[in-house]
Formats: sequence, C-alpha cells, structure tokens
Amino acid sequence: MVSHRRTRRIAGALTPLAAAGLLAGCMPGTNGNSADNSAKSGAVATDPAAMGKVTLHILDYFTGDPDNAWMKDVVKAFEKKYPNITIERNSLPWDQVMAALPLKLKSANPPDIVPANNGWQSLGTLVRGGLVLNLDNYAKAYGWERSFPRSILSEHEFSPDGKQMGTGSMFGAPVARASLIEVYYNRALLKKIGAKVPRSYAEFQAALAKAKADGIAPITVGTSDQVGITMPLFSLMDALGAQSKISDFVYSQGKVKISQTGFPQAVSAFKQWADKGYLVKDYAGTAADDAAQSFVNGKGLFHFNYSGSLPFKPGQSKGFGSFVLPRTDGGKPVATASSATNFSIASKSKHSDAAAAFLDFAASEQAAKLAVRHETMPLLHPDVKAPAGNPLFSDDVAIAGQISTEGTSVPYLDWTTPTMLDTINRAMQNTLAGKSTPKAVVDAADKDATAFVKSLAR
Amino acid sequence: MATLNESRASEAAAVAAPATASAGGEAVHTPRRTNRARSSSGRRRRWLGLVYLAPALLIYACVVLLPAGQGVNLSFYHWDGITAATWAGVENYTDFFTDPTLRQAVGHTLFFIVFFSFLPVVLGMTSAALTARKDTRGAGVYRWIIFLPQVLTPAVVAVVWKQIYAPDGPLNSVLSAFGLGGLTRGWLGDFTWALPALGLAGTWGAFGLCMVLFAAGAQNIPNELYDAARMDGAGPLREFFTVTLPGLRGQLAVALTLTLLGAIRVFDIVWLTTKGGPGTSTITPSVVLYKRAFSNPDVGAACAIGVVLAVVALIVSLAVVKLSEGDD
Repeated sequence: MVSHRRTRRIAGALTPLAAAGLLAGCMPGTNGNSADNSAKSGAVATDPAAMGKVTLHILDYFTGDPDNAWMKDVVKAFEKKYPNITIERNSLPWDQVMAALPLKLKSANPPDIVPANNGWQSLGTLVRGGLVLNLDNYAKAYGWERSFPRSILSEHEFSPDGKQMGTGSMFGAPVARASLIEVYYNRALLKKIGAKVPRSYAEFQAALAKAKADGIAPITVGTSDQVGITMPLFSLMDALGAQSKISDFVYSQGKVKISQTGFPQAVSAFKQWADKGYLVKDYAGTAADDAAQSFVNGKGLFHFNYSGSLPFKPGQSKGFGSFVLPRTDGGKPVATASSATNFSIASKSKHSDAAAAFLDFAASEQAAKLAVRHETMPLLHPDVKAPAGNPLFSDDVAIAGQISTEGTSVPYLDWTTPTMLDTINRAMQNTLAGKSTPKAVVDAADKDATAFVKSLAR
Repeated sequence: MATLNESRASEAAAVAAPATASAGGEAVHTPRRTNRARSSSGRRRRWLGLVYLAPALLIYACVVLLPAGQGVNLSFYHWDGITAATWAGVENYTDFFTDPTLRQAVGHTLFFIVFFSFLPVVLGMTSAALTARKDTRGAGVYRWIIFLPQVLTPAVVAVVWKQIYAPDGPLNSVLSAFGLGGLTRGWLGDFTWALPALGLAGTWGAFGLCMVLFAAGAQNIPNELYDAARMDGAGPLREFFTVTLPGLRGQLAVALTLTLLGAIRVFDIVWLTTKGGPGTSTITPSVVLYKRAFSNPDVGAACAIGVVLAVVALIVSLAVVKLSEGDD
C-alpha cells in the first residue's frame, strides 16, 4: 500500500517535470542571431564630439587595483575629452563575466563593450554565434592595422565564418596595457650565487645549477591548483620553439602540428628541471599564489608569472627584476603576450560608433601613459617610459617596449581549443609526478587540437 | 543543472526539518501521519490548501521544474551555449561508460561516500552512544566545537584544509615534531594521498551534523527502555543495538540522506583546493559538470551529468527512506 502510494507520488512529481521538458522542447540556440559577420557597408563616424548625447555601457573584469584604477582613469579621461559621452561601467570578477557573456550579448540591451577573452573558449564562439561586431570598418578608419603590431593584431582576428582564428576580420581590439609571461628574479640571491641577469639560455641554466649547488631553491612554482604550470612551460616553449610555428599552431591553420612548435622540447626541459631538483621542494602540493608569495618572501631565485601579478608590499619590489627567458638560438626573446583585455562591441549595440571611439582611446598613447602611472605594463606604445625609482617596473616597461617594437609576441597556447588549458595541466601533473612520459603530454595536446579542428569543420 | 541538484538538497533539508524538530521535545507528527489521520470529509479543505500553496508552487515550477525540464532537454544535444545545437541522442549519457575521466570521477564518488557519509554516521553514532546515557561534563561545548564546520561556508573550510595540508602546514609540522619527518609531503599534490586527504576534510565537515542529530535523538529515547534492557542484563553493546540504534532510525535516515547527497554532489572543497588534480586524481562528476558547463562550453554534456546525478540522488534518497521505514 505504502509503495503504491509512493509510486503515485513519484509519478506526480515527474509529470510536471516531463511537461516542462516538452514545453522547453524546442532546439536550443536556434532563436539567436543568424550570424552575419561581414563588416557593415558605408562610412563610419569617428568624431565622438559630433555623436550627440550618448551613454555607453561597458562590461569589464577590472575589479582589483591597479586594473580598476587604470580603467577608471581611462574612462575619466575619455569623458573629459568628449563630455557628450557618458560611460557606465559594470565590473565583475573574471569567471562571472565569462559565464554571463553569451546571455548578456543575446539580451535585448547588451552592454556596448564587452571583454570577450581571446581564443576559442570565448571570442571564437561569440564570433561563430554572430554576437560581436566585425570591426574592419573601424580598423580602417582609425588605422589600427598600421598602428598595432601584427602579432597583437592577429590575436583579435577571426574569419567572418568563425572557423579560423588569427586571420580575417577584427572582432575585438587590444587596450594599451600588456599581460605577458616573464621571469622574475631575486637580485640579492642572484648576487649571492655570483651570477648576472642571464643573457642566454645557457646562462640561465648555469644560474639554476649554481643556485641548486648553493642550497637556494632555483625556481619557486606551485602546481597544486593547476594554475602554475603553464607559466614556466610556455616560457620554455617560447625559448625553444619558433615564433611563427607557435602562432600558426594556435591559430589552427591546420598546417602546423604541436610537435613542430617547441612544445615537446619545453615539456622535456620542464621535466628535467623537476628531475634535477630545480623546482622548489613540494611544488606539487603548493598553490600557485602561495608559491608567488614565497618568492616575494625571498625563498627562491627565479619565478615565472604574468606581469604585475606578484603580491609585493610597497617598496618591496626594489629587490627584484624581470626578463623574458632568452632563446636557445640567441634570437630576440619571444614572449607569450596579449593585451590585458580584448574589448569587443556587441552586435546589438546601438552606439557602435561611440564604442569604437572608446576602443581607439583605450589603445591610445594617453591610455598607455595612464597605465605606466599606475605601474602596470603598457602595450602598443614602445616610447612610453617608466618613471624612475622602481627598477622592477623599469624592466617590465622595457620588455613591453621590446615586444611591441619587435613584434615578438605569441598568443597563449591554451587559446588553441576550449579544453587545451585543462588538458595540458592534467597531463603535465601526471608527467612531473612520474606517472607518464613527456610524450604523453604532447600526445594529449595533439589529440585535443585535432579533435577541435574536426569539430570546427562541422 | 545546478538548480536540479540544489532542489534535491532543499528537499533533503525539508525532510530534515520535521525530524530535528521532533528530536527537540514532544514528538511531532510527521506530515505522513497527519495525512493518514485526515478524514475524507476534509477533502474540500485540502483543495483550499492547494490554493494557498499555489503561489509557492508556481514559483517552484518556474525556478526548479522548468529549468530542470530544460536541462533534461539540453542533455540530448551538443551545444556550446551560443551557436545552434546539434542533436546528440544519448551520446552525452554514454559518456559515463566511455569517457575515462567521467568513469574515474564516478569511482571517486564511491570513495567519497565512505568518507562523507559512512564514516561521519558511524562516528556520530558512536559519540551519541557514548554520551547518551550520562551527562558528560562539557558535552555542550564538545558538541558545539564538533558542530562548528556546519556553520562555516565551504570556501572557508577549503582554505583551512588547504593550509593544514600545505607542505609547511600544521599537519607536516606535527609529523616532524613526532620524528615522522619521512612521512611529510604536499598532501594535496600527491597522487596517492590527495583523495583521502579531501575525504578526511569531508568527514570532519559532516561528523558534527551527524553527532548533533544522533545526540538529540538519543535524548528522546525513553529511559524506561534502557532500564528494561538493564533489568534483562544487557551490557552497553547490547543496550546500543536493542535500544539506541532502533530509537535513532529516523535520525539515521536523515543523516544518511544528507551525507549521501553531499558525497554524490561534492564540488566545493575539490574545486577550491585541487580543481580535480593532481592529474585527475580527485576529480568528481560535479567538477566535470562545472568544467563542461562553464570552462569548456559543452552544455549538453554538462546537463547529462546533472541529470544522472539528480536521478542517482533521487534513487538514493528513496532507498534510504524505504530502508528506514522498514516494517512501519
């Protein structure tokens, strides 16, 4: 009796569920835009002063300083220059932006400017869905194709059908601030082992060996939360592989395999560092942030990280410096680098002219100068100089200038596919722990890339 | 699919509420009994009740049932969340048998069931049995301390345990102090130890709830039963099995339901400490779900995982209810 009644109750509970399923039975994703990604024909307006009264809505992920302080200043400067344009910012943490972006862009009133992340995980999918604007007309009008280095420009390009990255039309624009992977060093410890700032890959290796022999941890790194692995790994790849091959592989143009990028050599070199004891003890059980903190506390000679991401207390950075890992072939150093954000314009934006004017301003020399004032790395304007009195920041600005002038940046390898970052992190942890070979990492990445290229063809 | 899982949790909480209330003082009738007691003449009044309930039901349908239905629907598609979806049939479901990561995650769930459910229940039962028959001094403080993890948010719990297991953390310090320096390691970065380490953190988190449930339940067992058992010459063990355990059947059902669902859905502590690593050694279905839904846009696959988790949770809670009712 009891069980009979319960059956009825379950059926009662499931009926509305099934009904809801039927109600929702339409195919998902079909009520979106049909993707017309060609650049709109006709002239575009480039004089913001003549655009009348406009309110621009910007979504960004600049929640902490100096990011937030910089963005605030850029907005203030823009509004001062064009009093007819008002800007309303909405800042959310990174993962919230990424999770909410598709829905926001599909809504009737999307933000005009959005920070779609480069690569296939975010921007690529949004292009395929026709949710972000083709900026080619603005690029022509503002001369972006001439003023931005090719290597940075490619990071914001997709073919209009959304099947190729790194070529075709601009669907986003860089801002005048860089985010790149570099090597930090501890000045006192470098002096202690009697070494100078490494100018060659061999000198870097020698410094590692010397530090180890002197009982100093050569590299502080923490991999327990799957964050810290790619910084040293990508640096090694940039030092060991060819710049063009890395870019071509990321842009999935089909001709280049991951085995040609220097990635296999980088995995092996990283494994060798681990085997030789160059990585700080217990790196596998340490979180990346804790490793950064212990480096700042003087617990290691070198540390790989993104520019401007170490937790220095005021004045503490004086004891540190930075450089890009020298290449084995002695060529110009190549860095995994991009703009601090990609800014795209929503397809449904009603003020795309004003939005493009803001994009141009955010990439301007004035914006780069504001970046430097907040001690964050500039991009696109190699002539912008660092203020005196902060040697680490001077190194950073010099690196940014060099990368901008020489065009020696490569995109982040994990932009290749939506799952690449996960794949590399997992496989690398297995290999570093001796559970698999370096070849397994390369195979896993290759499999990931091949599967994604196949899915793009669908 | 998160909503579907949360709905399970809230239902479980609803199950818990009357039981804990009854544990507090005078025995409160469970809703089931009240139903049975109702005469058929009250049928009209029951419809009136439904009218009162309608606004709540409507909201429930909108925020729970409708999204759940959409989730079920989505689980039959390949969808990146933006472009048009393609029909997948049951492909997203067969992943459970073919995708090695997902298979491994299911295995970890079984492991977590031991640490998140069986261990806390056994420990909670033991401590209730030890304190049930006499007023231990400071029992209140003792219970409060053990119950503390229930008050903390999962984010705090994760940070605390991350620190405890850190290479220079308290656990390794204690081991070194006892001359066991050879055993120290970065616990959360160790392929062998990361999973049990997180399991123990889960045991710590769930133990307090079980203990408080059982302790409160034990206070409700009439003293006469214990006296009678003693008259018959029962020792403490016998007393436990003939009086305490049967007296706690209701609480046991609640504790099992809550902790089993917790083990099946475990996400926060893993995500905030290891993200499923090192490698995939601590990955759980919920972590795979989250990654597929938000990091790598494969919404259909994420929904299928959610649907399976919800169905398993439903079956488990029904099984627990059925078992606890016994010959009722």
